[in-house]
Amino acid sequence: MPTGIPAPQFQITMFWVKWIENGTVKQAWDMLASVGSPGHNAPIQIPAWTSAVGSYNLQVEVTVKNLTGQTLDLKLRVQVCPRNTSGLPPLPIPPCGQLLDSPADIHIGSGFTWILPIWQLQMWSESIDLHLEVVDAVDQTVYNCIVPYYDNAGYRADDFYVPIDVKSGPDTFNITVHVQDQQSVAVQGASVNLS
Amino acid sequence: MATGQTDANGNVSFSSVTSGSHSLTVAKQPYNSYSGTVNVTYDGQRFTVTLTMPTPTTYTITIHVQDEAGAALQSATVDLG
Repeated sequence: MPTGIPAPQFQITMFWVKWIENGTVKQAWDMLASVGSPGHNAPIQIPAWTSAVGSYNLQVEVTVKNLTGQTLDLKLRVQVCPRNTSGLPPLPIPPCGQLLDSPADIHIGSGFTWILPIWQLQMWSESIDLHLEVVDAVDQTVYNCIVPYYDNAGYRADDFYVPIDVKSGPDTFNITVHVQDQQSVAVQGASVNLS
Repeated sequence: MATGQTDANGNVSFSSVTSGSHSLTVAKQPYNSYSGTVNVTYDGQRFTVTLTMPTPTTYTITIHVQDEAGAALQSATVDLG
């Protein structure tokens, strides 16, 4: 382990993420996610290949794995955000879905499954970002998720262990809000409030 | 609370935004106002808001034309601007 990186405290193993259309699993991904440090967190980007406008479900199961014996009372929180990564003429991109919480009694070794409705994914070229957070149910500290490993080769995610760094306080970031009309034309002079 | 206005490219940036959930409102005439929540989780994150136009409200009306005695007038020309 590199110098200066705290010993891992806990790890989230995302056993699988399944893309479901009309009750049929179209594709599944194995992933490994862990709790991130400032500057290292990022959404999990899942490629989508839908060829038609429609509503689809994404099924997510997250399991928390203890690496050090520390016991934590956690809840898991996910949010899905559509993204157009194609570079093709943009279509209106739906807003992020709701933040969804698991029950606040997730313990090390247990997990939770969500069925996340994805609205109006409109192009095969769109992707989705899956934002995963872990919340300490005792002090409400939020730990963001990073994805150090993306298994595209059929390995079991829990074969891999990645050191993690638990952040100690809130991070601050620079963000951009883009405002457009229904024809995806930029709207100038819109008043934007963030609170 | 942070407030800004979008530039010619429709973008407005905010710095030092704490991680977590934030309320976002966007207003610009003649569009419908937008109100929602964004979850800030990483640096450089970009959120797209699509403003919609209000749907015009239409009604069906009837114009009744009569003379001073209250008798209906047939074939009167009625223009509604």
